Amino acid sequence: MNRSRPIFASRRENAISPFSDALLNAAFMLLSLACLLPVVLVVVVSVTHNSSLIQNGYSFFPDRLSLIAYKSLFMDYGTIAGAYAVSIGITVLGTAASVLLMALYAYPISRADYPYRKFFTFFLFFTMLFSGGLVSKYIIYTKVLGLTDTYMSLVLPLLILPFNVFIMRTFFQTTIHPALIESSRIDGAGELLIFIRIVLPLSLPVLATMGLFSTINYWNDWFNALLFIRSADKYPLQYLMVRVINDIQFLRENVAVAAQNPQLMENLPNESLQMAMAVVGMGPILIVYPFFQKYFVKGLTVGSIKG
Amino acid sequence: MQRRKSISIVMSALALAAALLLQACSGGGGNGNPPAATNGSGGSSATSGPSSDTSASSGQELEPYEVVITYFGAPQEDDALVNEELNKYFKEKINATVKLEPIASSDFRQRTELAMNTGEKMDLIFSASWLGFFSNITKGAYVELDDLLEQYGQGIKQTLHPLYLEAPRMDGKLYAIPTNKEITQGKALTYRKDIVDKYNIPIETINNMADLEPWLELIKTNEPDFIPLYVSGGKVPFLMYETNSAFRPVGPTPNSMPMFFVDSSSSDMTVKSLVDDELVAIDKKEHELYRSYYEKGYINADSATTTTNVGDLRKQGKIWVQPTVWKPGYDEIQAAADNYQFEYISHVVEEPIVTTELATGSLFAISRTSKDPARAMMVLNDLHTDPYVVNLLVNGIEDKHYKKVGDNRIEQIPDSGYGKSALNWVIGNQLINYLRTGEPDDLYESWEKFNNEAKRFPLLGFVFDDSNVKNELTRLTSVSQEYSMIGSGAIANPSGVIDERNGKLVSAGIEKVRDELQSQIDAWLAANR
Amino acid sequence: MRETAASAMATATAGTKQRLLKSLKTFWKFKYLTLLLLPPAAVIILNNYLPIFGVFIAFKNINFIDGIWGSPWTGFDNFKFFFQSGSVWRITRNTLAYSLVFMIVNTVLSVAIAIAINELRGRLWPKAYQSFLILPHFLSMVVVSYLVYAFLHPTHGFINSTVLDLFGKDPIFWYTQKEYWPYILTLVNAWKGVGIGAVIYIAAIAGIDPEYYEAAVIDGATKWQQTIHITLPTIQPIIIIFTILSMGSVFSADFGLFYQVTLDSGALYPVTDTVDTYVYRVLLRLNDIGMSSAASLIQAVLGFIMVMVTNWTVRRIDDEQALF
Repeated sequence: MNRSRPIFASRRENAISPFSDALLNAAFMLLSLACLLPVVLVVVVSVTHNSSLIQNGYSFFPDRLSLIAYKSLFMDYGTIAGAYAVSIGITVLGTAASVLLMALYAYPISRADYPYRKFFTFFLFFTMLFSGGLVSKYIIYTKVLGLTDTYMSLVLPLLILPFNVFIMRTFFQTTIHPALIESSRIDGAGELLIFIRIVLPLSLPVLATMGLFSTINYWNDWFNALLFIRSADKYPLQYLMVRVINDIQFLRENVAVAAQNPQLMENLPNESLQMAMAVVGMGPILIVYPFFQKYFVKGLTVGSIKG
Repeated sequence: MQRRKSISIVMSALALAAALLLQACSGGGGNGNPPAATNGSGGSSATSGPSSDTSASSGQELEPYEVVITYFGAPQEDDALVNEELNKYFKEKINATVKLEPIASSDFRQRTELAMNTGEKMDLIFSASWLGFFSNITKGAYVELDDLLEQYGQGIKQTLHPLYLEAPRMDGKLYAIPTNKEITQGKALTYRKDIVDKYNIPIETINNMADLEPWLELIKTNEPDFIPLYVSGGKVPFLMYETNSAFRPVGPTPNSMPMFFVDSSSSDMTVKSLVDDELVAIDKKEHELYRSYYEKGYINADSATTTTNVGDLRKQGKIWVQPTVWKPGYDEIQAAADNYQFEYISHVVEEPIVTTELATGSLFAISRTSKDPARAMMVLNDLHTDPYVVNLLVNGIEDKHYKKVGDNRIEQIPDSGYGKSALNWVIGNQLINYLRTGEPDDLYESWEKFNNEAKRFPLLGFVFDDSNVKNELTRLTSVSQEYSMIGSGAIANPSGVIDERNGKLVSAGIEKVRDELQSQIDAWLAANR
Repeated sequence: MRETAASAMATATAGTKQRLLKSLKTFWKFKYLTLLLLPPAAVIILNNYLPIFGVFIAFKNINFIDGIWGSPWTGFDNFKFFFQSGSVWRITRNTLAYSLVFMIVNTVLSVAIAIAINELRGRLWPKAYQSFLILPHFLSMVVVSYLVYAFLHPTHGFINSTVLDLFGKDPIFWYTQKEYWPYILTLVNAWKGVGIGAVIYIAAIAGIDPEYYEAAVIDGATKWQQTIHITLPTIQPIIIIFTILSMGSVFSADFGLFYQVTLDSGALYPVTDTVDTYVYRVLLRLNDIGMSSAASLIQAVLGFIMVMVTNWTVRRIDDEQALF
């Protein structure tokens, strides 16, 4: 037992047996390998020479290595750097705004005493299923709101994720005891204060989780860029990567075009380049993840609230 | 309980009511789609009443106007620079500026359809038979061009092969201008010259896939590094109908698979479908042939699923024969593309025929939402006749993006910010483009000759209207997709599977579509013969 | 007579006035909470309710001249292609079956993982496991399809060349044999989604006051009993909400999974064709937004019914847990 500072003595008593622990650890190791190895393979393929790929398929130990995929990606480093900046900016701002707005909505509808909560729940839920479709969204964004070629057009669509709002609502319902609210009210606190001073700090795990999900969402979004962005310097990173892959897909599905115009096939990225793009697109998220993770580690919640 | 239920109902009702209300109130206002009036069908009277009469020379009489050019190509770094140069040119000539709107291939359809659905202003817009050109006409996306062509497109009329202008028509009216390049394509088998020489393969005598057999065996035995016959996906064995009969595809091609045919050697335009006896016989024979090739190991084992590009394999030296789409200069261009590792020689197996599909492989139309179609036509005319302007758009700025190495030849500067996008087949007149590395000197002359010698498909200009058979077409597409792997040779007992498939095609309504196609063709022939 | 009528009227109006006053009072009492709601509600209106008029596109035959406002109404014509397709039964059955199976499998696994991770004794390893387990979520379906292909390639795929070889069996042509695919797809879906799904449950369990466990231990509860009486009840509300909400999308399926990973192989359609892949494939060349809009509407309406039914069922059992 190499714990430096036991939290509660009873916790140690409550722990599972070393045998079960070993079993579980082994199981998790296997699972982790199953998850980790494919990603490692992706990285390996991204540095495998294309001829080796054609001869032998994917392998953890390729015949020939080559950094040419990354070289060609970063050759245009000006554009890539710019795209990174755009993506990071959108993601950070978007996530912050998104988590805040979602919490602002989730909290009132989680309060049992709020009379309009069924209404607003339905109000939000309805949008999960029924949507006007792409054309009307396009009309609203470009004609009514005038957001063509703006960063707002990338942030706005993903601000509220109904699914996540409901998860948040459930969290609030189960972890914030009504008595707590009552007592604060008696002490004279207003709703906004209660929200900021009490509810938010208690909900760090769920806020962190939602933050993670929003981050992933914003980072991976390329479709909104396709629809609304026109200036080269406003393209986010994923859009540039996915577009290349979509071009390949397009040519594959439209064999006639490809046949008529073989030049289109000339510059098609091979698989190692596609994997390199996956790595480049995925990398930043993996770096950011540990930052979120520390919020949902056990033992964080302050257990000092007594009934 | 009651309250909650009624809240749900009220909400849904409200939402729907709002939707209906919005649509009723706004009539034509909402999405800014101007009713047919302004730029409608009569393209001639279109536009700026004021001065724009006849020839475009003196730019001073014309009001300034920006022509938006929406085209098929990936955005490039120096688009803005090239745009500026183009503006200088056009401002002087016709007091117009252009706005370049390149859209990458995979985004093109989505973006242009959204733009068309929401009434965005566009002028010159790229389209093609494989981009839904004909269905867009039915939906009213484009302006009629006959009069505009007469008035402002004389240059186009002089340079374009007349067959070209027969193709992009519906109900006899012209709706787009094809890009001037090779008007059609032949189908060929392209061989590695060194292999042909080594074994003295008489490629001139190999005119269908069955003829190839002895050579496939030869290669398999003697050249283990090569894949004797590389097949990937393959909905239909190469040139199955064309090399075994005079049947040529016509009409709709659900899932890009030809399902309806006419006999091009006879003057009787009876439409046959895939389930008719003659075609079934060809189908089965060829599929059995491919299956036997697969079993003998000539065809790669992963033919049904492989996604490796044949070009990559060819560069690695694994391909000795390849079914190709051919035009003059192909062999040289291919060799250049492979960095001159190998030499190629082709034998054309199907003579080039000008069909509607092929002749509309690259077009520019003028959008209904253009405020000055005449100006757009003037710009297009210049792109067809003026080498300076078309090369500017396709290749970029001299000395910045390419170097001139001959009278009409250039060498592109790698990574220069422009020129990587293959725009030569997209814009205007390819025949007045500069020659690039690898293209033989007489490329364009040979293309002109090629175009002049091309045979005209009897149904050139006929376009199928699918509005009565949409449901059948979706069903046929679905069946075709389900059986799309038999062309790879990887499925056993192809004849049995073909029977199964054809049974499903019949229940999907293939005969109804055939009859509809027949009546439309008969009507068209009556009107156009 | 008149008096009673008048007084009846008076009481009636007085009654309505009273109710009006009461609701105004309620509104005023909760004005701050409502205020909190307003900014996000505005976003929702902008994003979702303003464009909702587009729903009627499903009932029209759109042409560009009349635009979406002026194009003619065609009633339910756009829906016909879906119901007359001959594939309706197959794609609906597939979509529904996969959605339900995925939901059950992934929830059970995610919850199990979350509970197990929280029981591990180490400090560093659980964090590491958690990080590894969510990795697959970040791979796009296209990349996943390449990976699966690397496994299932007819000649040099891992399974055919290594595993089957070991057992001396013949190679299987995976992409043309449909019987394996329900399992393959469930496995791939679980692999990709279970790690990230567990995150929510881990966060929830992390929030459980340790004192509950202490008390349980004092009462002599076993691990198993603690799990059932403390851990599970805490995450139960989340599981329920999650289930209700997922019912709404039970008639759609992950397009990437069924289209990319299967390499869109026609031979597998009987078990891999779903509403989304079907609509995508057949409408690809028809470019008819009326028809694709109709298909989405069908999915939405059916999903809506499912949610309402599930929600109502939950409400009968425990009113608190229902969505509304």
